[in-house]
Amino acid sequence: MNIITVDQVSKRYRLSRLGAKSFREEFARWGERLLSRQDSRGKEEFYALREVSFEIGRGETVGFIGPNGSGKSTILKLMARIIYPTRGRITVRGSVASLIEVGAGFHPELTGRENIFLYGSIMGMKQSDVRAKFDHIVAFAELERFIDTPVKRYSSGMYVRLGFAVAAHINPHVLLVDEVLAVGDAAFQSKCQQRIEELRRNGMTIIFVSHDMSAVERLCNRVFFLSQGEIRASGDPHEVIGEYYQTAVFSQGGETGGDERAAAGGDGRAAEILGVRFLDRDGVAVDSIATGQPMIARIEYNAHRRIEDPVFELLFYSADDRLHCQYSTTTGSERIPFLQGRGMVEIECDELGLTPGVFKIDASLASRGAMAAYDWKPRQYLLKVAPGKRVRGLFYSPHRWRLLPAPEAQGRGEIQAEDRDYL
Amino acid sequence: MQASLINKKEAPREVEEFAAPAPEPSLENTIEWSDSLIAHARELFKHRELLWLITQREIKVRYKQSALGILWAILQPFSLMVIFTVFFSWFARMASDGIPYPLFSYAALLPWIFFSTSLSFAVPSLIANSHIITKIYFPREIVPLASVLAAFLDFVIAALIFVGMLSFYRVAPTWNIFYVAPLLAIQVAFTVGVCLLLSAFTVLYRDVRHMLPLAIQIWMFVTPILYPASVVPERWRAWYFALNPMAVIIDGYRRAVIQGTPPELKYLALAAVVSCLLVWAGYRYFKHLEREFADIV
Repeated sequence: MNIITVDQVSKRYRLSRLGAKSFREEFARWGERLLSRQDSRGKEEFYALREVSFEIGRGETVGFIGPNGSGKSTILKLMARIIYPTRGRITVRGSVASLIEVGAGFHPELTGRENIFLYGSIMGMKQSDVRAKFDHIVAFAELERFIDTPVKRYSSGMYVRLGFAVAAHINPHVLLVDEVLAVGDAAFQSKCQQRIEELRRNGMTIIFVSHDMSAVERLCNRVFFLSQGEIRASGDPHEVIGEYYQTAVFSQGGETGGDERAAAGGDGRAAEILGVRFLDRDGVAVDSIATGQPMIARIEYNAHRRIEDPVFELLFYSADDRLHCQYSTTTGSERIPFLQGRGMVEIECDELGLTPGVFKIDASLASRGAMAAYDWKPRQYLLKVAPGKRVRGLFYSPHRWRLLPAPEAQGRGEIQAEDRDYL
Repeated sequence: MQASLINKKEAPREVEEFAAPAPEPSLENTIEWSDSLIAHARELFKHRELLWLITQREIKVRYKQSALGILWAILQPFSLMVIFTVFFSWFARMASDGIPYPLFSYAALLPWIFFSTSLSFAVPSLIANSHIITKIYFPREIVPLASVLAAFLDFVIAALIFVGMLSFYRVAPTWNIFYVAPLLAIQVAFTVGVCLLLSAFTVLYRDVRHMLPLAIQIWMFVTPILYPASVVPERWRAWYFALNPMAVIIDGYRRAVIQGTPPELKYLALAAVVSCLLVWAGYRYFKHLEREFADIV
């Protein structure tokens, strides 16, 4: 049975109507329209969502992913009934609780206790229910000592913990969650995720919007990939997330390079990196390699003079500019005695450990122990990692499994032998 | 099956609490945007606890960290009454239909302050609560209604002083005192109507917020608070009462409670009709604009 039906829903914003107006502005616009005898509003339209349709069944956990401004939050707010669709129809059977922003209903002057009741009620809980769950909520938030303090004295972490604790104890048919898992410290985050998993197992329909792909993949049974207000892909989380990564666009490109490069002193005068290429197992140049597949990377260089004891390095950065992986000639036992003139070095990796996504790559060439590099190309190269081996987590670690005989007999024997020695 | 087994092992206490499967969704709860005012009213009724909690919040927040706390509810009308008595009665010798002036002015200030406080809190209330409105759904009319309700509680507290004053001046109530009930009902309806209309309108046009203090002041002077309605020339009085329901209501309180005579029933009936229309139109308009609140506010 479908619990949510979204039928041909569009949400349009008129840029001219965003925000409240003063009478003066409104008169000015009327005047303008009278003079020019045309309606200027049409030009300033912006569709946050365009003809989106989908259905969500009871007990499903569905994720919405996509770049900023793709309409993820809009769709959540529409289902939460916070905003109204310009066209189309949304039907949600049952009660809905939304966690669009944790603690949005708190009043700073009120104590934690008072806020729990107020927030619970805003979220649609009965006062008697809040009372029954009060101790659980306070314990979950770990705020026993501060529950009668006004929340304006709370730290931001305490604030968020209280907000999530209340929300996590409502029992709606549908729970809408927007990016709130990225709150609090690591311990609390994992507690939140555990809680969501519990609710999911108890049959609650959960819909959430997140940039945390590992959480989306772990929790969801279905994922929608939105882009520019339309559904680009939907279905199996692993595949949809892979597709999202494939199309992820970098806003920064190679622009960050200049300054860092100057700071690092890599001017490329003594030696320079000419390029980095990626090859598959057959030695064919590719720009995309799947997780778990062999990868060969070739760095082409030109040493204008003799470089003693050189060090090559490749750094892989994710879309959010986090360093995911480093390949360096200093990590292994390999050593290149010197470079002179043009040439190439090759890295061979049996199984690529990076998970799907697009990675920006730094390549650098330096001398062992030197402060400054001869050449450093920050974020200059790209490698797309396609979904290959199905893995969860931040990276795939190559490994082997082996089935061993039952350990009991072996173990008991040894202990007996030791016992005998003591005797 | 497997998942629930693991769950039990990990956190037995939590599971006990949530062992009950998610409640069966019923069509009763189905979320759809409706145009029926009755459906809206029914939903509002379902959220009555929230209305009460937000009212409590308004009151608590208003008086928290103020040394006199809830005494302010009394102090405001009381101090105005004292000032009015000194300047308008002693110095300016204002007529008061033979009623002791403190009683005369307090009887009018009480309902007037209820009205003006409602307006000045309810009208900007949606903007003040934009952080909730853009994040969580609930019937939005709760926000301005809570402001009216909070002002009403102030009114009740300040009315206790009035009871004391009545016995001090030895005013014996007559049966006409029961007119207070319909007067109050009409005043509440009128206040709610105006507040719904203006609070929604303020979301669209912030000008209303700036106009409000001036408008309230002007309104106060065209309402018989400082002076008796009898000072208005006879030939204008019909218009005076017809155009300003608050004038009928406040004059009515004075007659019913102090003078022991019925209010101007003809005009009171008109005020009742106007108030009911205002509630209906205000609620409709509010619900119509409500869909856009989160986009604009």
